[in-house]
Amino acid sequence: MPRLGFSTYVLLARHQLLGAYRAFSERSNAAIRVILAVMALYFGYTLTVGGWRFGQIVFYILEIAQPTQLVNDYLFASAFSLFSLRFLFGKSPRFRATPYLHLPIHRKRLVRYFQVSSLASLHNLYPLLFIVSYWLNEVRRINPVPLGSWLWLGGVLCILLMSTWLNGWLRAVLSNQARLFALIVIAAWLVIGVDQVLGTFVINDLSRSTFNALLTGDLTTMAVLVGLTVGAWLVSSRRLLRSLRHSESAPGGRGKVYRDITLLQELGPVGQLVVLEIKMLWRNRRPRHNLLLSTIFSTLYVIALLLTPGLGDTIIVQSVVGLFASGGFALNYGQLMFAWESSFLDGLLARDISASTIIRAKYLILQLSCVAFFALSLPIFAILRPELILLHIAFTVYNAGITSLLMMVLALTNRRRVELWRSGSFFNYEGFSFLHWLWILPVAVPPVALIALLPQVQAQAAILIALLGLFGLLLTPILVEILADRFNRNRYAMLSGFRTR
Amino acid sequence: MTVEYHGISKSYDGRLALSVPELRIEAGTVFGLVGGNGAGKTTFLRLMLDLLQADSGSIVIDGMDIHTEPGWRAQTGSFLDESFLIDFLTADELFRFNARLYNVPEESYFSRLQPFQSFYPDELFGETRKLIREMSKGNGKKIGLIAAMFCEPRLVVLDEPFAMLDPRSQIRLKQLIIDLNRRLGTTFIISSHDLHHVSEISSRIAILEHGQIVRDLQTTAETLTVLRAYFESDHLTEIRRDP
Repeated sequence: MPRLGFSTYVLLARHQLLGAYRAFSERSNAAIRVILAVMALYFGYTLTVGGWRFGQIVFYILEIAQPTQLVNDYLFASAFSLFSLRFLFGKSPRFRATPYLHLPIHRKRLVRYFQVSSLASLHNLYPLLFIVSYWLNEVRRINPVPLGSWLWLGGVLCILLMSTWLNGWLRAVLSNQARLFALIVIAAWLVIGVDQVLGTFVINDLSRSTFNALLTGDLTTMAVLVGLTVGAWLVSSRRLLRSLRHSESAPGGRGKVYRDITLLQELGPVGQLVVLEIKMLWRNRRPRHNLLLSTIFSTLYVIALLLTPGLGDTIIVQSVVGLFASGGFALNYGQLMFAWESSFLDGLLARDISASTIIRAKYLILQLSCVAFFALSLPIFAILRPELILLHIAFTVYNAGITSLLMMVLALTNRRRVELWRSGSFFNYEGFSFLHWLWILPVAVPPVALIALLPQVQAQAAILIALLGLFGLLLTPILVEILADRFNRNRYAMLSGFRTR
Repeated sequence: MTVEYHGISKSYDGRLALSVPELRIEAGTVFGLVGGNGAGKTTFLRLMLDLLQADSGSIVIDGMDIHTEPGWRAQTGSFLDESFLIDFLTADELFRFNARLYNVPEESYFSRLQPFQSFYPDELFGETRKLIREMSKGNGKKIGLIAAMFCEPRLVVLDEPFAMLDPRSQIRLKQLIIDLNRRLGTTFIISSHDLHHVSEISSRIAILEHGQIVRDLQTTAETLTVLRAYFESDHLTEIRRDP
């Protein structure tokens, strides 16, 4: 194994920068690049100013002269929220490292590089812009102990570093031990949920005492945080190293007996394709993880939103809950319809299967998923908020009739290949385009807005939403033919895009 | 099944990939397609399976325009590359999937598969446990070739069927192709770099060069010599420059 020293890191950094630049310049047109750049600058500017003026903002809203205690109370909670966001929208270091595995670069060196380079992310940059400007204008200026203010900043940095590396660790756990991952997520949600519901607020107390101690210049607390950060680096590096070895081996290889779903097979070509899709979903890592995410969205996320004091009572949140509880799978999985088949769509279309059959099967899967997730989340509504069951039913019908249709329309624009066995994360962006992010507007805004704009007649608004859904369901046979026609027009471009690795 | 190309052309980014003004392949022919890398062989096959859109012209299979009359698909089996495998299925599941789509009667399912067992002796048909992605590349390819042929379609389209197969499997595959062609009159369209195999099984061979058919030969005892002479000649080493 050649030892290239520091130049290896420079080489990798140059290659990554070039890749990022090409991905950005090739995947979107000039107008979108300008919009994205302006948005990025705007967010950065807002956070910087928000941090600098945070004291005044807090005084204006809450009439608290010293915001430091408030900030210290919520730093751990903010770190947890940031952790969740990073998990949903970040990229796995393993995913980035895979193309370099065959090169003569020592694995530990690769791990070190990708652990450090994973810090260069908007998930760290944006919080830092806020925190540093807040620290400059508030903490450093007001705190009487100069060492304390530096330790406070160091503590926040430790939290950010831990959040980044533990995220990598959790992704690696998800890739190799999905059950352990589910246990960790459920346990974390339970601890936070119980703390909030019982009103013990242990997490807030811990956060306050930690950062208050740092402000007084307590080096022991700092040493504990540094120790935890080093620990996060070590466990995540070890996991990453193991997952790099794992990613070289072929997926599967268990030699287990696979069961067939004979009942659906008898339902003709549509049943055949539904069975094929179920097998694809269950036997491949990425769609399976997508299913797991949808299940979490439709259960734990719903519980968290409904239980959060104040939040669960707002009509908008209740509508969002209604939309996601039964439509979580259709919204997540449906976005990449056809792209899921990108590795074998050529072969599928060369067989004797009509476009209508393909569309009908996919449509059916999305519609049935709404019913399945309705049933899954119904007990939650029944126990926590029985008065929202009507809204839940209305959104289920809407999701089956309208959301499924909108997701199919979006899916017909898919041109990017998805590797089924490669997970990397829930959202590794493979197969996604800017349109996928924009599409949430026509999908989510109209029904939520309808409910929110008619708070006095919520039951009638829910019935109206259900009727819209029912209308969509009744039109299914006609919509299938329209979508099939569109599919036939788009198929060559889709196939061509999917062939490109 | 007869296959006809009428005025077909296909370009990528302004560069001509394939141009076939007129071509007719009679039913029952084993049509071999040879040529260098990038000569247009895969484009030729993908166009025929309606997986690519031609810039101009039409392809007609048994009187059916492939683009507007999809009836030809029920009579056509194909294997071009791994995208024709559904690799998260077992071999049995893939065969069953194809058998149902191609309406193979349940009572003749195993009898149609049986001739192919010796081509893939690693697992007994009806009891396969491995997912296709767990197999070696060669074995995965064998499963794809069997899936394309065992339903006994009237037209079979194969891209590089001999590549990656061990010698015994190559010989067995040739026997299977010849047997289907003689027994059922199946039309085969096969692209290959292996001049020896392709000249042995084909009744007609076309040489494709820079997207155009430059030779169209009825196979005789001399064909292999002619092909070797063609590919050994200097004109192929010319460097092609884009306009």
